Parts: sequence; C-alpha cells; structure tokens
Amino acid sequence: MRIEVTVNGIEQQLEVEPRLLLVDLLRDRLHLTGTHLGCEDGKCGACTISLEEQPVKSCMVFASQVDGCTIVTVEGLADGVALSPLQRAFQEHHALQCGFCTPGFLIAARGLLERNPNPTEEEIRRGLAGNLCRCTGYTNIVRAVRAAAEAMREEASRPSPEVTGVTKP
Amino acid sequence: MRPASFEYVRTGSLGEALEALAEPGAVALAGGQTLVNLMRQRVVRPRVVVDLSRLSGLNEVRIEGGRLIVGALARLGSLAELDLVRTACPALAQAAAAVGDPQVRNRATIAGNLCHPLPISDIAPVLLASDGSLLVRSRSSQREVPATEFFAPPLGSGLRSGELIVEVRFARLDSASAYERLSRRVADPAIAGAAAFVRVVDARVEDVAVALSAVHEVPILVPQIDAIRGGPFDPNAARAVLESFCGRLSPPSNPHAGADYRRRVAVVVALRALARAAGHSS
Repeated sequence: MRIEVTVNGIEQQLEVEPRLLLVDLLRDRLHLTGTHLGCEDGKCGACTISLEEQPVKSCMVFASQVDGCTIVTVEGLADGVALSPLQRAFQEHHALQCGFCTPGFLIAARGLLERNPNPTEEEIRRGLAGNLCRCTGYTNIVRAVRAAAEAMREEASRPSPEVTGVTKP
Repeated sequence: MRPASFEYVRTGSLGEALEALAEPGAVALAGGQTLVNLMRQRVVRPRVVVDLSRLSGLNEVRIEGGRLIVGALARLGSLAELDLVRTACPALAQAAAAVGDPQVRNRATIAGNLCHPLPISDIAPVLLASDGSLLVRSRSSQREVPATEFFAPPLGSGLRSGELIVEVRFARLDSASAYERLSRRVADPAIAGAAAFVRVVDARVEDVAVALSAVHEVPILVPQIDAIRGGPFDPNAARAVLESFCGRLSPPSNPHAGADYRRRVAVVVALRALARAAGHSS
C-alpha cells in the first residue's frame, strides 16, 4: 500500500507492506538509524519517536497506521550542527555512556517538557518510565532534563529579537 | 520476530469497519499496544487487520443519564488528564494513568485495555466497581453488556466474533472513587490493583463497591464489602471482609509475586483505595 508521511519536515511517499513496522520503515527504508531497536517488545523505549507531537514506541506501530502523519526522530532535533537544548544538556551532564538509549530518551524527554515545562524530579522519573538505560543509573539523565527545562524556560522568557520594538496592529 | 502478512483495511465509517470485522480471521486494530506485540510473537495471526484509527466520534467522553460515557478509542493518556474524567470518576483517571508508560498511554485505548483478556487490566476493576457496562456492536446487532458479565470467566468470552466495543459506560458517579495498585516499578503490571467507590452521607457509608485485578483468573468484584454499609467507615471491618474474600482466591503466581503475596497486597491496596474514596466523599 502507498503511504505519505512527513519525517523531520520532509514529505515522503512510500510503498509499504502492511506488516512493516514503523521502526523498520525509519531505519531500513529511510536510513534514519538514529532511532534504535532494542527489546522489540515495547519495554525499552529505545525506538521512541514523536508521532503527531507525542512520543510513541515505533516498534508497536505499523507503518500503514501513520499514513498522513507527522514524525520527528532524533535526527530532527538539532538545527544543522547546533544541538537542541536537550541534546546539549545530555552532553554537558554526562547523561549517556554507550548512547544506545539516548535517542529514545531525548524524544521522550522532549514530549515530557512540551506538556510540563517545569517538571519535578518525580515527574521526570515518571515521565521517562518507558525508557531503560543500562549505563547511567538515570541520575544524570534526570539532571540533564532539569537543566534543559531551565534552559528552555529561559529561552522562552527572553524577548525574541524579531518581535522586540515591533508594534502589533 | 516480525508479524506474518495480513490484509490491511482502513475505513472512515463504523458500518464499514463492522462489515470488515464480520469476515473470518479479521481483528480490530486500535492503539495496537497489545495487538502489535501479539502479532509479532505470532500468537495472533489475523488474515485481515481493520484499522479503526480514522473512525471519527469514537473517542469522545461525555456525561449522559448520570453515567460517564467513554468512546472506545479514547486514549488512556487523555483519560488520565481530562478534567471531566478526573472530577466525575477519579478512579478511572487514576487507573488510566497507571497503565504502562507515557509512550504506551499515548497510543493505548480504553477498549483495547478491556478487550485483551488480561486479568491484570487496570481499567477493568474500575468498570466493575462502578457498576458499569459496555456497548458492543456487530454488523447486525447492538447490545449493552454489564461489566460483571463481560469479565465473567473464562476471560475473553465477553466479546463474540465480529463484535466491537463502541462505548464504555461508568456509573456510580455520585460516589467518590479511587484506584490503587502496587507494582515493582512504575511501568510494570500490577501485583494487585483495586478500585473503590464509596458514598458517605452524614458520616455513614451509604454505598460501597470494591473490585480487584491481578489476583484471580478474571478481574473480580468483592460483593461482600456491602457488609460495611450503614455505619461509619470502619477500616477494620473492611479489612476483615477483604481478608476473608482474598483468602479464597487462587491468584496467578510468578517469581516476582507469589499467590500468597498477591492476596496480601490485594487487601492493602483495596483498603487504601477505600480509605481514599471514603475521605473524599464527605
């Protein structure tokens, strides 16, 4: 069957078998291998992507189900070489070691911060309960998400240069 | 493993979906958070998969005739957060928030949680204790099935071939409610879960209901809890009823939670749910 999806801002038209999983579409057909396949069972969260602006596990969705939808993967987070605040915070706070789980954590944390820009530690831990990390013990991941939240709130409260001084009609 | 091949059908109308589901070997796909895994393990090998995701109007939540009516495709993540659900039936919001993890709740639907015959469903005890029911349709019929009948053993017998849950209806909205569970980690299935509905008037328990999950072959009501009606809420009386009831169950056992442990946890979570519901209902 034919599907149309927008992945990281690029419209794609693809012929897929109905049984193709979204994660396989992303990795094998679109070569977006930043999305990792861990447990293949919906437990580990490594394959988390953003579907219609909500984090979901791409190993539990058929490609045929996302016809007409908008998807963001880890490749869509940075602006060229400029990392997103979350990616920067993960780097600065050593929130990864082997990096296998990181793409999933980044997308899950992005979804969490969109709904709750100022989460408590407890809310961060619950918000990331769908993702497993075997290296960090989670402490630095939680720190990184708090730091990113702070950076993003500061960014949002700063008046944007284009808007400053412009009188709205 | 990857799922076996199947024919994929996506319709925009409920009528067409019911037609497609009448075909032998057809299954309904909603959020897919159980079905896709079962298909990948090839436990389920449908010939036809009917994708319901584009049906409009089947995810609405409303109050009608004193009941909270939840469309079959309402996602658990939104039920956990909707003000209407949190005020009208707090136990439902709490149970929805307890299922899986955020990613799963973003996809999983209420009907999927109820129609996959798992004794560990968090939503099922809420529906049972609320004296709720399910509106079920097929190509040629429509019926309202009481939750007690839907979850009667053997689990999974509630839905006939070709039938689809259309609405889930929660009653007892004039009682306060709470859902409590214990699990090893947040996103793990419950060792035991309990929903309680309590109405206290003039410091007397006027109405009470409790249902449990994960401690029996099916989610199960505790009818004997009715004995604590009439007087002030007495946790010791409730404990005696629950201990006697749970003592007669044969819960599933695994290395993380044996049968005896589950029985004891069930009493504890049921008492917590009762106390919270009783405290909120004055």
